[in-house]
Amino acid sequence: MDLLLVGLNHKTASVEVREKIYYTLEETEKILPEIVYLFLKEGVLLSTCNRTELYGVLKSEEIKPEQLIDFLISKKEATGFVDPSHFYIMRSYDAIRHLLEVASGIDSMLIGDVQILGQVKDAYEVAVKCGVVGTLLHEVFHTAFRTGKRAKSETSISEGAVSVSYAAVELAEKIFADLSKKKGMLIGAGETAELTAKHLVAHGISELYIANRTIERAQKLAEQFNGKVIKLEEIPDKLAEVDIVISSVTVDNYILTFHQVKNAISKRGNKPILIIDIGVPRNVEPKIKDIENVFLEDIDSLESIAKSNYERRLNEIPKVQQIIDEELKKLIKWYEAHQVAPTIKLLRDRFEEIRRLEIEKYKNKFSPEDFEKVDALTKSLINKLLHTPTVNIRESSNGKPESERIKFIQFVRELFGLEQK
Amino acid sequence: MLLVLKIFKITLSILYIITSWLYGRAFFKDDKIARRLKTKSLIFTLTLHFIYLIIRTAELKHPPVTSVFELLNVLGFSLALAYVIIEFITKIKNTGFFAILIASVLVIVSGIFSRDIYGFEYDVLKNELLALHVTSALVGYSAFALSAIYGLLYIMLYNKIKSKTFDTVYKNLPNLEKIESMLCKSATVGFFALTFVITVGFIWLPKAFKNFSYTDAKLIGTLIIWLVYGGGLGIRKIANLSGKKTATMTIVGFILVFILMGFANAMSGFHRFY
Repeated sequence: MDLLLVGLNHKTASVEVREKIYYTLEETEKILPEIVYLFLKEGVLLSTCNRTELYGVLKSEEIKPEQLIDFLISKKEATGFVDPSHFYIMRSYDAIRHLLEVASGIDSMLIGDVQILGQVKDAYEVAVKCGVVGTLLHEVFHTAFRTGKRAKSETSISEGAVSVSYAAVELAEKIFADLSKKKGMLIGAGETAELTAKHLVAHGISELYIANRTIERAQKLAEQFNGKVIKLEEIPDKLAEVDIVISSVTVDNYILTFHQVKNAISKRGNKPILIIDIGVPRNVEPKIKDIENVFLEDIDSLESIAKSNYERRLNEIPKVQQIIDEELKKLIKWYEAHQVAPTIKLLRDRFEEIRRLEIEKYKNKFSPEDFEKVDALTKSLINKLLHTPTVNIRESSNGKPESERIKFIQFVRELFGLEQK
Repeated sequence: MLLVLKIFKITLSILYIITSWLYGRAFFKDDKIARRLKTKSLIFTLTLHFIYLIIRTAELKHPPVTSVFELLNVLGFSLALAYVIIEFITKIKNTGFFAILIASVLVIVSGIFSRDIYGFEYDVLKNELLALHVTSALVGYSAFALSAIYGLLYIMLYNKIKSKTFDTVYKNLPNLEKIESMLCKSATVGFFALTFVITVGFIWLPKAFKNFSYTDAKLIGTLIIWLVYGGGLGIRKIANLSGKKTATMTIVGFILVFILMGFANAMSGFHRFY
């Protein structure tokens, strides 16, 4: 197979290098037709924050993969920053296997990353829009989409939160059935706390109170999350109302004490409350974890959730590899079926089968000697009938680009009904 | 035909054990194959169990409600059936291990001890009111069992979150609020079913038995259970109990059911009127 891949990713290049050679979808739309015009018969450029990869079929044997690398670097004016040694070159089934690994999320920086499949689809669609996708890349990328989809649905490769802020949301969803009926309170404005609040809002939390020492900052956050600003002194009163508290302030004394929480829990009819303390030093008196129906979690527990989810994902890699093997096998089968020799053989077998079935019907109407003559006659007839098509199929395929040849073979197979066999 | 019934009994016991094992593998080990097969295995087992109950009733000319061990078999069936219905309604597919394990124990115990006797041993059991009485008792006790199972799951998850143990069991359980809602619904269904059991029992028993007595152990036991669950549901509403306390109540309630019913059966066999 003539497929070629040149690319770099988070394993071969640092973020400083990757960002220099990152092509947005708009840029891809502009540059891809030019690349294909100069070097390729067909091509797809996949560029994300973690990788830039060009999949394609070279126009001629004279063109070297290094020329593509130089072109990708120079078009971004990244010479000096990006070195050809950052790139890897893969061919044929290695390149396809790599694409399937990318699409299924096991080549991602964060194993099981769900975004990547969408990004692969976007890259493919841009290439289709540019009119530079042939039959081969069409089949290869659709195999990749199928593989990504299967990996997601048949394994747990993308299950569970693997970031601390998402782990907090996952924890909240383990306690409460419907976040849209719950209220939250954000105390302080640390980065993780803000991210957690953002995810909670995205998961539909009904109301969010924001308390911060500087009111301006609180107001800014309130605008961002559509929340309500409260003063730090109001926290104990509001505590009975809210179901989730995220605290991340730098204070000398505890911002939530045992008695405040105890009072709040009795006011709220003993309904469970989740308090996430990510402040350093700790914002919440540790012994409140002993109060019934109070779940006090800190950064360590969130990290432990994220870590155990990630380990679970890592354990799923062999299952994903198995799916990749299956899909790759199917693709190889498809590819081989679209080669000239197997198609001619299939065509001859088909005609021979028709001939055999037909003369079998009349076997009893001939004497054995006559039947032998009819058998030889029909064989010779089929051979003569198929001679010209066979020669033409061979000649028409010679020197044709792979995609065109596959298209032609596909036409022949459809014409003679060879697909059903 | 008795041989067929025996084969059914053995097959059902094996099928219940396999299904429990599949639910256990799915819950504790997160096994993908077990996850895929467990519900299918349960539905197959339940279908076979239903066929067995029909064949047995037709052959022996009485419904399987004339002895404690026959009832245990039907109780196992109704518990597994109630669970599978909940699984379909709530789409929570991982919590069946405990329900199916209890159902398996009930079916196996009944398989070992129940006798296949033709016809009614007691004419008094040929009564429509009895059918209502027994069916609602089965529904009631299955619901209490489910409620206790969800209580147990609640406490398991509660302790896992409190102790920051985020393992496979933690991952496979639904959220606390959902479990609590299910345990409350089950307890409420059980309470109303038991109310019906008692009402029908009070109409039917004096008519059916000349020597009917209000001091029958099962009758008193059932009344106590009814009062405890009724009281529990009431206190929960009045005292705003929620979370761990409610879960503990359902477990204590079911332990009480077990003790009282065990005691009543030891005292008077079935009902002591005959």
